[in-house]
Amino acid sequence: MLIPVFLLTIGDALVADGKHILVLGSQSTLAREFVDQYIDEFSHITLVARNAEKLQVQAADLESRSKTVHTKCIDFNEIGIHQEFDGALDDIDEVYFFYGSLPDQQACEQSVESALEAINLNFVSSVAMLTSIANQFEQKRAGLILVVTSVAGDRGRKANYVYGASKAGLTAYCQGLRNRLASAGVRVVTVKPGMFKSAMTEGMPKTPAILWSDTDRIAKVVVEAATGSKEVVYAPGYWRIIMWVIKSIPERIFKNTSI
Amino acid sequence: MYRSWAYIPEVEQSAKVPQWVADLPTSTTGAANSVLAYGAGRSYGDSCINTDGKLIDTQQLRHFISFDVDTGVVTAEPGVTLDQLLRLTVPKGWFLSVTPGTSYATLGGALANDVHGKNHHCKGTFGHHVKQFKLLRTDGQELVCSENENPDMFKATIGGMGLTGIITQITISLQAIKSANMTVSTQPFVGLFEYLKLSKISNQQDQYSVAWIDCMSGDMEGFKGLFYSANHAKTGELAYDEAQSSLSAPSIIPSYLLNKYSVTAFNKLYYAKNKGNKSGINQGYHSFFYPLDKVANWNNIYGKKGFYQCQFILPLDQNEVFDQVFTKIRQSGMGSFLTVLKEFGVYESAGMLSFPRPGICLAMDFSNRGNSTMKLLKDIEHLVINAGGSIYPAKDKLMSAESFRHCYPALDDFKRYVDPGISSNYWRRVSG
Repeated sequence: MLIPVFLLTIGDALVADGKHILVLGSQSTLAREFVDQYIDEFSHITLVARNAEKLQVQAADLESRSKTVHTKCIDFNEIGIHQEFDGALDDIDEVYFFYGSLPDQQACEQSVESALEAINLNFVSSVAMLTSIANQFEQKRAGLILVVTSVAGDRGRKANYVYGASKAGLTAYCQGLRNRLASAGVRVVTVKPGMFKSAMTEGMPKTPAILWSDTDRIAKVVVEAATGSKEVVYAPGYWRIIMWVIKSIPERIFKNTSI
Repeated sequence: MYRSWAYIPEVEQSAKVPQWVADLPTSTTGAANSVLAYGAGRSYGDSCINTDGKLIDTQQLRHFISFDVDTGVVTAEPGVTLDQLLRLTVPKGWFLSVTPGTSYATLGGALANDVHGKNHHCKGTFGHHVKQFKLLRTDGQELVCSENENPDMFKATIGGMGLTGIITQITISLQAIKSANMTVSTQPFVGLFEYLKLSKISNQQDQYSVAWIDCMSGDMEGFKGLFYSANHAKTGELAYDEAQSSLSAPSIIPSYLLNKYSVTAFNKLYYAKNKGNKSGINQGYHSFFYPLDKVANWNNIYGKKGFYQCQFILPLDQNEVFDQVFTKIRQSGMGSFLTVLKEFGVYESAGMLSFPRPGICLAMDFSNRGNSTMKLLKDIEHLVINAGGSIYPAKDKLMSAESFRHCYPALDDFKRYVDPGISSNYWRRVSG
């Protein structure tokens, strides 16, 4: 007989008392790898993503591994999604933002729609949800909010500045939120990955190879960020130095480069 | 970049990396557009490479679908590695019924190569424990295969080297264990006949047995070896034994480092260190089954030129052929770094092209010295084929189409089940 796994977890007090995490964009390569590496740290998980069929696959996987799983199928591009989270965070201890898209920069230069769609998905929708989530965590005076942004937000470049701007906005928003929620005991962590191999970057030339990481390495940094005490984490850590160098180039020189 | 575990053929390929089974490509047609599922890349030869077409990396297809803790039946996607599976099942008291020597292989790869382990004499091959799988053909058709449903396709796919379709989910039955530990005994021996005697006794009482031998230390009656026998321990914790790579072989080791002298010295040292007669020693399952997994990228020790694995079975009445093989190796001046001997049981394999069959199985590896190594392997191939033996496709990259036909008489029957949209370098070589 196949036992539904949620029944198994009830008898197991240790597991039942574990953390409940909310993962937004659970179908991203990084989110999946993160959940695998973080598996012993939680007992309940709410998966939020767009594709219902894939959510079922993911839920079955985690249920097989003795987790209690809830799923929510939403399109982050839709206005008003934050309402889904209003008053829904009582049981949730940690929230992870993994979703996002890497838009075609040239398309964004040609079409206002493409540019705004990217900004809306990567930034505006996150702001909407963070507003709701932050208020609830502030009231609870507990919680962890971890947001994955990007090194691309540290300096705008012609190769991907629409994406970079959306991530820069999100990074600055999180910075302010961290400042506001510090006194309430709510942690806000920003993780800025460099380039890594994922569904989002499939087909991109992986050069220079030395700057491309495997997803599991980035996921490990996210796990360390979640369990550690740092506020802003580069993934891998050497990107802090690279971006420090890139940020220190004077604008009048930088504007003529093709970095 | 994708290549085979032994770095030969010297090619690197790129691959599509679907994140979900639902994203797998369908309706590819024509040999030029052929695809091939690539698991963990632990095949040594060219069976995991498809330079005329494309590769589909299945490692992201690694979801579990269900796990019944009462019966030990687990269903998962093909990219789940054996290690990932054990991490889930060992704490609940279940272990793989059959496992090969690395935990990094995927379920899909284990099925496609119908892998065997140290318990072949009592559990057969991996395929014997596969209850069902789903197979996606490149025309978009998805088949459920088991002994009752599409039984011919079931038999063709087990050991079918990924050529019959892309496996999208696998259901296997596990064996119950009471402890994550193994009880292991070691016994030194000399020569093939002593090995056979030990094997006969052990096979009646132990689930696992295997021998390490130093094939340069003597002829068929004079070589030294260590006989390992083991069972799952009856008491102890049911804890997952993590696949820890505490060492990593750097990619800059020059290929001349492994030569006749260093290999001879290594084998002598290994024997001297382990020759003490030990019985009933408790050790974690990981160090017993997967010792090489402790060294990440151990394939690098052979340098950039790579190496050749050679694994074959000889029928029980052809013992003198071992002598001829050993003589050839000594004459060639090449040493095998790791040589493993295992008597197989009488099980009929589950797949049409399965390698295991009754007899004695020998696995060796040789550093790549170009033509001289190829000649040695070709000589061994002829000896094995003439003796009615067979060669393991997962480790082979030299066997001729003619030899393949000798080893695998079901070839023509098998061809009827091959997906026309799937191919591999191996298949193009041996199917002619």
